Amino acid sequence: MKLRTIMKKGLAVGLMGIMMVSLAACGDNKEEEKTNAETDTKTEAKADETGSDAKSDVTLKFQQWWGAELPEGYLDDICAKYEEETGVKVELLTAPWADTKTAITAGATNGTIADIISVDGAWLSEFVDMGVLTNVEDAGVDSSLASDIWKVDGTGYVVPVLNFAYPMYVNMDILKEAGVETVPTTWTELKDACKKITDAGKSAFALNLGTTNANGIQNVFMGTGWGSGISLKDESGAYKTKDNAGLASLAEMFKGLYDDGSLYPGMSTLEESEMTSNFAAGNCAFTVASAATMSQFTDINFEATTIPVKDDFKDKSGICYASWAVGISESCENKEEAAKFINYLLGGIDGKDGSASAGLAATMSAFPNSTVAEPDYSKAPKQFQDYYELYKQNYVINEFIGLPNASDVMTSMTNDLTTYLEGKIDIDTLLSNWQGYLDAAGK
Amino acid sequence: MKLTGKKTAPYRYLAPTILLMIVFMVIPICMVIGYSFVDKAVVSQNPQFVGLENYKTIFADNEYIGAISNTIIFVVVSVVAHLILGMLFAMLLNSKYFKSRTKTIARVIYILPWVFTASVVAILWKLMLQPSGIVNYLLSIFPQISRNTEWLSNSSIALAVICFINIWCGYPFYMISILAGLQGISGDLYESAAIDGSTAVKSFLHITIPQLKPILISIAMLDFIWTLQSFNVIWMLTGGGPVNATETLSIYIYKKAFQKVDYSMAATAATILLVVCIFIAVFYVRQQKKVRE
Repeated sequence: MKLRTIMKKGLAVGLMGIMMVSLAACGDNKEEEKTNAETDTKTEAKADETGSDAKSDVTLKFQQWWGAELPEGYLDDICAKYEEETGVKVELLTAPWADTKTAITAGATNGTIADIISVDGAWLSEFVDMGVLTNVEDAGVDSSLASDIWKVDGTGYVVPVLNFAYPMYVNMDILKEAGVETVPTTWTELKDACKKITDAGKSAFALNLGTTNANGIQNVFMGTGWGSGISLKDESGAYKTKDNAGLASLAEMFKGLYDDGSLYPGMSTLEESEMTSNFAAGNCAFTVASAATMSQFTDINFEATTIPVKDDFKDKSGICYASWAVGISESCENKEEAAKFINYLLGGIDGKDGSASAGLAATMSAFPNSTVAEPDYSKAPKQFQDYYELYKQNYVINEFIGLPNASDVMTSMTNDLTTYLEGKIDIDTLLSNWQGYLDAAGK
Repeated sequence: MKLTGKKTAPYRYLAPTILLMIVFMVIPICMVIGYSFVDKAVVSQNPQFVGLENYKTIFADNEYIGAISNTIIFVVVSVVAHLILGMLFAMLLNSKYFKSRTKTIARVIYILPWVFTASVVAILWKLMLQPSGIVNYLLSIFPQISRNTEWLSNSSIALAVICFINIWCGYPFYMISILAGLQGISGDLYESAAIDGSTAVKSFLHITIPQLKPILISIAMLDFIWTLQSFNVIWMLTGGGPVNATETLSIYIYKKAFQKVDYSMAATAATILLVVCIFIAVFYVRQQKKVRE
């Protein structure tokens, strides 16, 4: 047989084979479609059984940074369980915290924004201004499941799922070494303790005023102020720093620590992560950081407590907090389904099961915003359990949440605080400058 | 003209590259330039055309003027120091007074700072320069010097420290380039000069420098552009602080875009920087052309 004939026949056989395979594949597809249809019917029936009318063909995109910070696969498991129970698929779009804002901003402009977005308190106002967020209560989020919903002009846009409180950590060994017998509870005690610690050749109090992420002004400086009922706002709720006697006394207290040499050296470029790692290394006696960082302090003898208050202050202390919070994007086509997922995170399918929220809280050493979640902190460090009691006795506060251009304002306030502590401007100029930033914010 | 003909062949070969350059360079650059003429770029779906308003605003911004001033100091000091140090080390390595093995070991040691990535450089120096770091510890040997110097947190010395670190990690590029140039200079020139009674200084000024001139200009131009765009090391060491003391143009642009979400102003600053870089690039290309001719 000629080579040409062999090739012709071979080609014909090959083509026949391809056709056979294609037909078989078509048959499989039909079978698969049938199977899928059966599954869908079952899923819908299951959804009806659980009281949810979720549509099985819905896929929700969830942009967040949580997945990057939780143990691997933890959030995927919650979403898989939700899909199992409702048939609604939740696709996770995970990016580090620092990139999430850019991803959401870019997505909002080019129409690729996710359905559910994780929002930091500092971004809230900007996202509302941009029209990125929808009214979560109108969408169907059950407000009774959340202790708090973030509002702008009376409209609820974002629901916190977890709250991260900021205790003051105390290195007990440094205190002992410096002859400080008890953990300070007032500003005078704190100042005296810091002086003794500094005299003993140790670093006392860490204040991070680096501007890569300018959150020291919020977590440490105002965290100390909120603990004593000092506020950035007046009674009407407007930002009022000029002639604010409480803020002046707070700034002067920190100036006293700076002048005594009690603030951790290098404060003007110190970042939160460095502050925490220095405390973990036993380099500093006092630091204010998220309760979630407690697991890092394995090699030191420490306590977690509320920040010392002004000497004459007897009321409940405000505790600075940050949140993992979620909102629904305005362009989401399945707002109702998105709201159901948020309800699920807070209270399960039936609104009574706070296990998802409780599990997240226990895993992240955080506190749930859900009203039905009962986290099990039995495996948490003793210091965390003690602090949880203090947390329950007091209240959480963060006056930067909802502030327009919060990151920018905090950076400017931080720069001025550094200048004030270094003695280059006086207290009136400091408070007056801050008033200017707050008034100009969002205009 | 046939699309598949001989005449179109060069364009067909170039098409993939041109396409990639259009997609990844021309379009993004045009978009950034476009953003500089509108308000609320990126964050608004309907940004308004504002003409040169953003340019007027940016030149009235003290922070921007401060960033320009810091950038000029940072770039000029870095480039000049790179040139002097690079020349010094290259001449040392080219000298006949050292054995070949010594030169090889020295070359490896000298080039090390250039091999490190920006993150390694930043972490290394941050650890060494922190108040409880090794630099202050070593300085404590001298009783007159305080052990608590805040190298990166003191606004009056932070920029100088950043310049020093940038010089440290950038001089090996000059050293290698100049060394290659020095090895290409004919020994006959020096011998003739020596016969004519030329001193070492005169030989350096009238033989070495003119012979190295094309290389020196090229690397200085390249370094000028690279240093102008320098971001990683400064961001990781100080974040532009304390109180904007080390804020260069690239840090200013980043902060405007990603901290303040003001993409219009960030694009305006980036466009101005682009124009400066284009001028230097044109000068560089002309210089290269001259060398080839």
